[in-house]
Amino acid sequence: MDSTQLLRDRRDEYVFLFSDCVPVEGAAASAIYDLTRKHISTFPSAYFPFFALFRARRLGEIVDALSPEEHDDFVAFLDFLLANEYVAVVADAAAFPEISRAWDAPCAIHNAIVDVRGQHHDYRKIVAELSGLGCQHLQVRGYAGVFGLAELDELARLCRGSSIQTLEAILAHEPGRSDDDYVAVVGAHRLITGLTVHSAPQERRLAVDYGARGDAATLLTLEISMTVKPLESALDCGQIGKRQLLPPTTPTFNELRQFSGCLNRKLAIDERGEVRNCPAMRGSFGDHRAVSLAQVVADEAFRRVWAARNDEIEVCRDCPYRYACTGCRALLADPAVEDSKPLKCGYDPYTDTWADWQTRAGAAAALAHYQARVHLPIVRG
Amino acid sequence: MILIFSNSGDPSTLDVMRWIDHLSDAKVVRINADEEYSVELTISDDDFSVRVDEDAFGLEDVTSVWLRKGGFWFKGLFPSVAAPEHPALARHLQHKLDLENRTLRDHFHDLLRRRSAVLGSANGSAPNKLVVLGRAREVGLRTPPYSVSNLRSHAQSLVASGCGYVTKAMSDGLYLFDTTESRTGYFTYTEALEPRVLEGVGERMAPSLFQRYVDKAFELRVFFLDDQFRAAAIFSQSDAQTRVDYRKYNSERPNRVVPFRLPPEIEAKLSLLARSLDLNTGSFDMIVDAHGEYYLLEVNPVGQFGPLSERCNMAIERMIAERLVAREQRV
Repeated sequence: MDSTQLLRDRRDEYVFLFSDCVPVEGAAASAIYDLTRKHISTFPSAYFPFFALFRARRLGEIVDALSPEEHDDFVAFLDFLLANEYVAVVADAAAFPEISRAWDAPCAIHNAIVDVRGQHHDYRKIVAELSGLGCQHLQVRGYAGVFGLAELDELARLCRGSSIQTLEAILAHEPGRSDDDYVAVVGAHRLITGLTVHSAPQERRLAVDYGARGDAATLLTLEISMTVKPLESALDCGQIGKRQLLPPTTPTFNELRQFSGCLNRKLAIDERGEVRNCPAMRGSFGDHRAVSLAQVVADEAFRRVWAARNDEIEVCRDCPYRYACTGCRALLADPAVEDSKPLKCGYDPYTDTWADWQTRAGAAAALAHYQARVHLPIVRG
Repeated sequence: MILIFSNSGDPSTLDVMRWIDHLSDAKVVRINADEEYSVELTISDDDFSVRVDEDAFGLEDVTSVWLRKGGFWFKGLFPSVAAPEHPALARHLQHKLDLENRTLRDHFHDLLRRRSAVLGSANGSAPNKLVVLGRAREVGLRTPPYSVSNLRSHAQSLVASGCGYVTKAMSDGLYLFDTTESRTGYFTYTEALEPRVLEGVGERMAPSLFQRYVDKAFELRVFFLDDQFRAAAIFSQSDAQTRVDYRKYNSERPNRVVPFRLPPEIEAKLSLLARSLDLNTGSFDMIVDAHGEYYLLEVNPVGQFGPLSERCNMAIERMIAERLVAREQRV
């Protein structure tokens, strides 16, 4: 059904925005988050007030109140909503409540990052204590050769029977390793859901098919990604761009309305073995060998940053993508301001434009500030 | 201790177990119908003691039970019969042993039901669809008119009536992944009854279920746990691929699924129906037509609620976990 037909035949009914399509108001552009189809559409914010009208007034009443020049814009907007199946026209929408905004997860810690450069950590203790906290996802980042393929194999073994469901690794390329070595380790552990090898001689992708053949192989295949780019330090993280936006789903959308998409229920062990909210953030909660992770997590000071939602951050609070963006609380555009927007974000919600964050005034100085703080030089493997 | 019977691949079981672990210190023993265990079992009068691999427990240890999936548990307790030169005898003895196994299982469930809180249906399968339709009408729920017949002429008269009918399995539809030979999945869906369906069918055909097609405004999936209801509306009507059966998913443009507020009188009737079918959990499939009339299609005691729970944020996994740990905390 198109809008012309609706405006003629269904004037006494209401435009119902399906409850899995949630409007999010931004400064210049606003968005609709389609939680079923995992897609975000944007439109000029001038149209945003229509959503309140849809709930309060019948279609005919809305149209009659428009000036002739507004009328065409409204028809175009209605067509956009219909084409994406964001709305239906119904006699009564009272039976369709909003999706509950509550969020919770059955774990004290949901995901963890372990950084390794020059020294090993007590992986057995880390995995056992993370398992006690219900941690589901673990990422390990090896900056140098100290943590290589053999260590990944051993870590995956330690994770068996724990709460950890996925293990993702970023490792430095080891010159003595063949493709088969990488494929063999990843193929031996279904737990390993991603491997990126940095500082490699060339850009390549290796397929792991777990021995499956035919159609089944296309479902099971995992690719090991080899990149020539080096991973220097935790400061390499925090990139924010269109590609980094999370496809919206009900749980992630609800979580990001209330919590930091990156830090909530996260725990990190930095390259020196210190427990932090994020390897690149200040504030150590002690050496992981000396403290109990459960006690750290119970500490109010550790959990404080979990609540750093984008709604409370400068600029981000006006961004239509704020409930799809993990953000970054480690590297800020203005390091002196606690609620400053992330350094590595190039979106300007006041003009609805994307640019390279490095071209922004002050970006180089802010990055230099963080680089000076990093505990370099650090033993290189 | 909480006892869970399931299948190894059921994702909802794992989600509920995570919640149990997060909410309590309860010990959980999970037994999968598709896995083999080392089982030691003694039932004496009104008590039993069981060891499943490393886990030993008696009836008094079991506070709650969740019969999630699977029919027969404790596989391999009885030997299989091998008598190649007497095939008829072997078949008969095998059948007798299956009956022994079933009697043992039923008694085991009965003991659990009398002494602990059991969630789920002990049958491990859906109740008879035709019986459900009858009971639904008894409690005042509308059902689409249906008939079962083995006469092609009956089916032809339905086609000729122009009212529109669908046909589907009387029991559960076919749902098979052949992982050993052809590596193919086989499924049956609810299909529209059209003239071409009857081509090449003899005058006497296999007895088939026909149900009047209801022109739906949307479908409902109604999960229930005791007297708590969580309903979701599925807008499958605008998509030709899902118009007759929404399980024919359109992965490009999945149907909209949104929370739905059931009218209290429908909820009350569903409560009565669940009680009359002796079910304390499951999902009702319903449709709402363009005039706002509610029709009951069927009930599934062991359906997959995970995707609906997540998309509509219904927290069903947590509800189940809370029900299972409730008795644990009182001990």
